[in-house]
Amino acid sequence: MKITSVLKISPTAKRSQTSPVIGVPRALSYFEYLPLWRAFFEALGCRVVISPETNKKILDDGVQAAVEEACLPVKLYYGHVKALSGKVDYVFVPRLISVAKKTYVCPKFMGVPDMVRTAAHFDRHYPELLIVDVNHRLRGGGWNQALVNAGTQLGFAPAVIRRGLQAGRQAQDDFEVQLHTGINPAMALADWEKRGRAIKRTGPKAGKDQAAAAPGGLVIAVIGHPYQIFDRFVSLNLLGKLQAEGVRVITASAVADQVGREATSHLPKRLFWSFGQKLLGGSLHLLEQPIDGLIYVAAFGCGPDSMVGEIVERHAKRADQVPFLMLTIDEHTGEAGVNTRLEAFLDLITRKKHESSIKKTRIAIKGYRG
Amino acid sequence: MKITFPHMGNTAIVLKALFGELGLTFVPPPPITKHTLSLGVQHSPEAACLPLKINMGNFIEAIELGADTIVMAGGVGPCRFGYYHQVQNEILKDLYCEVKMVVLEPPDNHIGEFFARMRLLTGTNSWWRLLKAMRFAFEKCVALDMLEQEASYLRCRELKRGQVDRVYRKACQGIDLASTIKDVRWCRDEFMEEMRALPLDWQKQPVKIGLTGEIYSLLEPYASGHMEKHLGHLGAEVRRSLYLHEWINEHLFMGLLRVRTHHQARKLAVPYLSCQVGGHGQEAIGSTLEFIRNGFDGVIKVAPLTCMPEIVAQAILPWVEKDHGIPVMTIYMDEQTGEAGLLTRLEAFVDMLERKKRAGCSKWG
Repeated sequence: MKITSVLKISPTAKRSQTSPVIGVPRALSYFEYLPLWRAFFEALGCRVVISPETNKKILDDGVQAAVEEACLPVKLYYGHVKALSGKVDYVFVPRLISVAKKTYVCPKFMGVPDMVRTAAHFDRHYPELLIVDVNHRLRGGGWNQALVNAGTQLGFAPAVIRRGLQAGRQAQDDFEVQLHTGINPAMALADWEKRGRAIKRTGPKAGKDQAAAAPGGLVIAVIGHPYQIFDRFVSLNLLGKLQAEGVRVITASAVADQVGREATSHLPKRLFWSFGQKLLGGSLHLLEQPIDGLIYVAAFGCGPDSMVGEIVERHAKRADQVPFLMLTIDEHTGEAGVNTRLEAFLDLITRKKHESSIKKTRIAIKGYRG
Repeated sequence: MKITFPHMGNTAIVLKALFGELGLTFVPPPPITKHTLSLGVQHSPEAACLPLKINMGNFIEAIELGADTIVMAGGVGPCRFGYYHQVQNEILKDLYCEVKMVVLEPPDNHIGEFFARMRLLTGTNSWWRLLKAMRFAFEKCVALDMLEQEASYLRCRELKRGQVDRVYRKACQGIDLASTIKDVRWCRDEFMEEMRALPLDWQKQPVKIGLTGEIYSLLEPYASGHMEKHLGHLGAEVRRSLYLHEWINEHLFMGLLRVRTHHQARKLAVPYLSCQVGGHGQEAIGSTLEFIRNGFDGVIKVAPLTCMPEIVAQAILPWVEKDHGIPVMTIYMDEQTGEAGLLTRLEAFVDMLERKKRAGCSKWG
């Protein structure tokens, strides 16, 4: 079965002197593809406006417009699209069907443009949408084709689009290289947002992230969809809290796809969600590294999380007993509850580490005596 | 090798016929009960959807009876059903129940993978014998679906509650025991006659409700809280958007047989949801539109809680409702769903449809 979309909406091209302003909702795939989109649209001469960071208003708008059962990130997507109304000509809403060979993404990503379209049908305050399909299952139907379609719909010439595409690809590659060096993706994204290019950190600031890892400090892998853990509002600033405790955080974004694939190669079945594969590969790889604990941040009602989280949990418990914490988050999650659980978890792993170091010393002493 | 499989409505009867014809030993899991569900819930991830939990319960109960091979369907996304067996396998591993899982799904790399898996099942049987067994099983499947369809048509008209179901249960047993295609057909016709000969109120003009949504909830009465039966007893004529033989034809036989398919439904859904979202999301919207075309009074969409494709469909259905002025209710089921709560909702919905229908009649008459 090949999933294809047959929707053809061409925005009523606003024929004005200036290039259109493109809005990008700060939700879902924004955390993966911002550099690609921004560089592409800016190379075309468009201005890119990003919706503000998630706040109470966006949450309320989203929760009101979306169905109750949807996961929190999808609800927020509605809110972010709405937050852009009046500020932009079009909001860029890509329909992600497949972003890599022989994979899919979660069904909600496929349906989200139509879901937002439905909401716009009932609410006049929604901006106009620029919907393109990203379907790697079709020949030549990946991001390149999607962006070409977007450019064509906006009425740009093929040569200009080709140049934009190059800029976009370059930007995305830079971003990914940056991530694999272990930089905090939230910070990398912030750079992209501010300057629109990757910044090479040199000088004393270069090792700022690593500096947090004081010798003997805790190293914790935080696994979750980027739109979960890097959105400070959704994750209740989990990363910030951990860093304040002096914990060094590793996320799955830092694990290259190839490494992740190798880590999951022993499983009988390849995972068909590309974002899920990233999480599964990342966590199974990180479980083999010397880490003190693993926190899985799941969205309530997320399908891939329910499956991937379970497998990661079982592997964590089997392999050397890496302490595992599953945080399921929805719009009703209270910060105090998360704080308590986090505190207890950190206490647990600190004690465990302490005990094991004592044990090691004892063994060493015994060995010396014997 | 003792084969078992998960329950899904009447699938057990069909698979029994198939494996029996092929001369394989099999242990069908005991019927789904509260115990099955609680076993499943205990060992499954909390956030997983209901079918996974019920399947898990089936497997554990079947393994207790001596099964060592599980046959189930799979998939390559994007619905999480395609990854069920992987998670279930890991769970069983941690329970120290090493079983072999034979998963029937599209091959990842090479068509040979699929045939190799089939070969595991068929053993020394020839392809011809396999075809014959499949034909026999499919015949049973069609007969069962016809009886089920008739039962939900007649249930609202019965004068003494429970009679239709009694005959339907007897029919299922009869078809289960039938050993030739001729027997199956005879059984089907005989019980169809018996069902229609019951004391029924043929003058009744019941409200017509279309039932659509996720396949497992539609096919397995336990997973929908016996919704079809309840609606019938509340006095509504029910028709489902999906029957097992349609699904088998569409997904296993590549639509070769002349059986109703969902092409039309998917086409109808395109203006609202332009791409398939896995599972039966697009079909749910399309079937709703089909029900509207066929003059149904209301539509109920049923799915397990957190079902992703159905959430997409649910988000878009208000648009369909607005365009066509037909009430659509979405009901999510999970292990916490109580029967009384479900009944209240169904009753209110049927009541509302009846009142709407009466108001419509008086306006025209």
